Amino acid sequence: MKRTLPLIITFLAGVFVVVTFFIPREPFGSLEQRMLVWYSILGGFTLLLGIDSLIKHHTRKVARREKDWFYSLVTLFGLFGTLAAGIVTWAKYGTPLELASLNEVGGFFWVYKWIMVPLQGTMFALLAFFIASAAYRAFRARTFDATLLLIAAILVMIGRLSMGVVPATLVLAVLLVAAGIHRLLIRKPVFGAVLAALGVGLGVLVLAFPQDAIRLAPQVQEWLMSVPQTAARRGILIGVTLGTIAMSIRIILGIERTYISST
Amino acid sequence: MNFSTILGIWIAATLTIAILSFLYRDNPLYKFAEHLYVGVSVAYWVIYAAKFTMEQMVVNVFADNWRVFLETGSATAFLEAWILVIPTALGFLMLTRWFGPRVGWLSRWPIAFTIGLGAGLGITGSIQGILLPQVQATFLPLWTPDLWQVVANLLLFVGVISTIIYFYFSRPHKGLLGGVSRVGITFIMVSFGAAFGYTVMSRVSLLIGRLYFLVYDWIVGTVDFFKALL
Amino acid sequence: MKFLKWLTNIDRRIIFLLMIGVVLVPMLFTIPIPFEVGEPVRKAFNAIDTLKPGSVIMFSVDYDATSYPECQPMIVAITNHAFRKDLRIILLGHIPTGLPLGQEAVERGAAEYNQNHEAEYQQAVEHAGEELDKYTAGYQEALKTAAAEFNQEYTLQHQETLDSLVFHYLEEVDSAAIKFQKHIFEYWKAVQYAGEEFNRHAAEYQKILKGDVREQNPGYVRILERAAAEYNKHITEYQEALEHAADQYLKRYGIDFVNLGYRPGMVPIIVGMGREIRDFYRQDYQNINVDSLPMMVGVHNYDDVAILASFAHGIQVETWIAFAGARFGQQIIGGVTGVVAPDLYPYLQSGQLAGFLGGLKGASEYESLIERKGLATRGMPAQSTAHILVIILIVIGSIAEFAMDLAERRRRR
Repeated sequence: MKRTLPLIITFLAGVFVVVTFFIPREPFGSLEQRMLVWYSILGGFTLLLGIDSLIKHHTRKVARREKDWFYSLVTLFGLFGTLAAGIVTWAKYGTPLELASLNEVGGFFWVYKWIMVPLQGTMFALLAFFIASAAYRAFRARTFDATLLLIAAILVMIGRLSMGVVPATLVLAVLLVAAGIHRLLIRKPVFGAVLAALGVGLGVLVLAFPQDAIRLAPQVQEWLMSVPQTAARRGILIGVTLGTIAMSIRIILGIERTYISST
Repeated sequence: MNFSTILGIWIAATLTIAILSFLYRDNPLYKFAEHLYVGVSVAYWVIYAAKFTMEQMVVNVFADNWRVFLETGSATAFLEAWILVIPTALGFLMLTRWFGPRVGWLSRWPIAFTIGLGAGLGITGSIQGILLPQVQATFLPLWTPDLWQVVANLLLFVGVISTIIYFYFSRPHKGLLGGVSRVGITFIMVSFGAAFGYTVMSRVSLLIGRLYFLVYDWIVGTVDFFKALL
Repeated sequence: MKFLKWLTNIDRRIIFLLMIGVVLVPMLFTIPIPFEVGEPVRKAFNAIDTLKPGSVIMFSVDYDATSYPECQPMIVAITNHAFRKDLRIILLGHIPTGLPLGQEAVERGAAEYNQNHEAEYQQAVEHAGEELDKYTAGYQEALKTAAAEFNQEYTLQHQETLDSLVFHYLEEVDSAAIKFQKHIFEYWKAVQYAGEEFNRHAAEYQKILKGDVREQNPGYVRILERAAAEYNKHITEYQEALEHAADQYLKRYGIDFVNLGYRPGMVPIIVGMGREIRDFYRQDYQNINVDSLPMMVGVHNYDDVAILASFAHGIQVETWIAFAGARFGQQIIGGVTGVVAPDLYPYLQSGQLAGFLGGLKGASEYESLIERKGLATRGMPAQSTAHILVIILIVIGSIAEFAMDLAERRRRR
């Protein structure tokens, strides 16, 4: 019963939505709408789930003076401080989202702009450094596929530049020539000759017609994005969509049960 | 610029530098900022849940309908008010997860409800919204007066088919299947390269945003603030 | 050899320092750079530019502070464009930690618009006031003449009462303007209230007047009534002129833009709004009933929304396309980060997306189209130098690796 009732609920809910898709007239239409509103309300309750484990975990750390208990105190301070800020602004303006609270120390908007935004923003800004370091370390043109990937990446990056297009293209040309020479010397003459010729050709063209290069670079990038990239991405998208459909059918039919056993 | 803004800017700058210090190595300042982030984020979700779900979707709607019922005696209003008990009860059942597995199994019912609805919506949305339009858009005319367009349409068609075939792993990639998946992999490599180019751009923008804040809002802003004071 | 080996394995902290350097230096100088606008951005711009004035545009804030530098310039630019084209904005959000950013963008956009048109608005208000003054003077003249003709002493007292009523009404309007400068909605409520009060008092006053004087001087009362009716018409015209000026030169909450707030769960809301928006959003973010917001009259579902702009940093635009676009035929544009942008090209090609802005470059292209330099344009030089650094690093790494590989092979032989 504990396991079968949820499966029955899932089946009924899923089938109901699919049936309503094909029969939108009353009473299905308004019933579906009601179910959707309830789904949204449940989503709100789900937002509250995380708070319990967070408070329990960190208060235990502080109470037992475990390692790094000071930082748990900081988390709790952040949690209750922000809750207080939200409640105070809510009581004062009738909503926590009031822009005027930006000008009050401790207002909800003030906490958002000067604590939440820098924390979130900088956390992700770190990625810029890691991506530069990782790109340098991992992206080496060792195989045909890797070389192709790199050329596409560099062409796209050049197309998105607003200055320095000519030097960047020359650097790409140098890479192509170096890769070509490398392949020639390791006994892959065809590949090597093609790469070297491409490199030399690109370098000469860019030096001869720099204005055209600057004009064409974004168009090349746009073409790369709209044709080959779109094709591959669409293929992946169709594959993923078929997977989603299969997974959804499995869930509705009760073949996929992992979401129940998580409790 | 008033005091609350300049104070806010300094707090923001301190937190920004605290997190950037991670680039050198993990340190107490970074840990402080990281733990603060966790606490503040969760509080945000709670306040939003309380205001926009509990208050606006449940309490206010109930109060509205109850008021209409008291004024007009309308049966619909009465029903609309009290039917909210059902999703609220389901919501509280969801919260039984707080109390461990002995009571937490009750949360399976609301979870089953949301998952079932989500799966049903997912099927119809995926087919109507993604699968059919995308397949339809792949069947483009392979002969038009514009040669460039012909090349593009052909490449698109070949690319989509070969990429999908590459992901078909139920048979070994040999012979014709192997050849077509080789073409597919070529397209995929181009697409990953392009995606990487865009990702670099995206991440660098985030860094630009933070450094811009440090230089113009913090340093220049503080100088302006003190200039205005004097 | 050692140098080559070092080149294949540069310490990452040096790379970090180089990264900070190439981003910081261009930021300190503003370098004006012209650039071409790409097709996705141009399509998005045209989609908004060709809308009729008064059309409704819906903004969905599906990003948060982690994508602030990319998505915020986009929402600011599109808000600016929308207000210029007299479109009406519905703001809602599906990510709690991002909605305040959208709110800030739209409210500041409205304030900027109001500031840019303040001179014209003040002029229009003054002109309306001057017109009314003409009639006020005329009305008081008519009363004085009538009084002089019939019963001087008696009606002079009533004259002063009437004078003070008019004065009081105009004072109320002025003080409401000063008090509610930043809150146009409250201002209009206050003006309406003052007008209703005036009308009420004027009616009472005239009742007393008629009661006292009618028996003695019915002719006089008739003149007063006629003059009062004329004057009331001009008060109404004055209020209409104020309303018209505000319509033309101001962007007001509830009339030109609304903020519906956040609701959890994305897919049910997207599907449900195709039937009725109020089922999910009965009140706006301030608990004001949506039906009492003038802008939301007649706006019930996607049929009444001309275009939807989703500012996202994940799969949200695809969700909008799959449900709102496919099921309800809603026209959609996207404002997305660079990570998500490549995913949207298939939808652009299939026509499911009317256009999109991808990353900081997309935002700066849009800013150049609306001719308003914002954060995105200022960030582009730094972005270019950072890209060049990454390209150089990749190339150096690859070339050094080639050289190392060749040296290894020679050594093995």
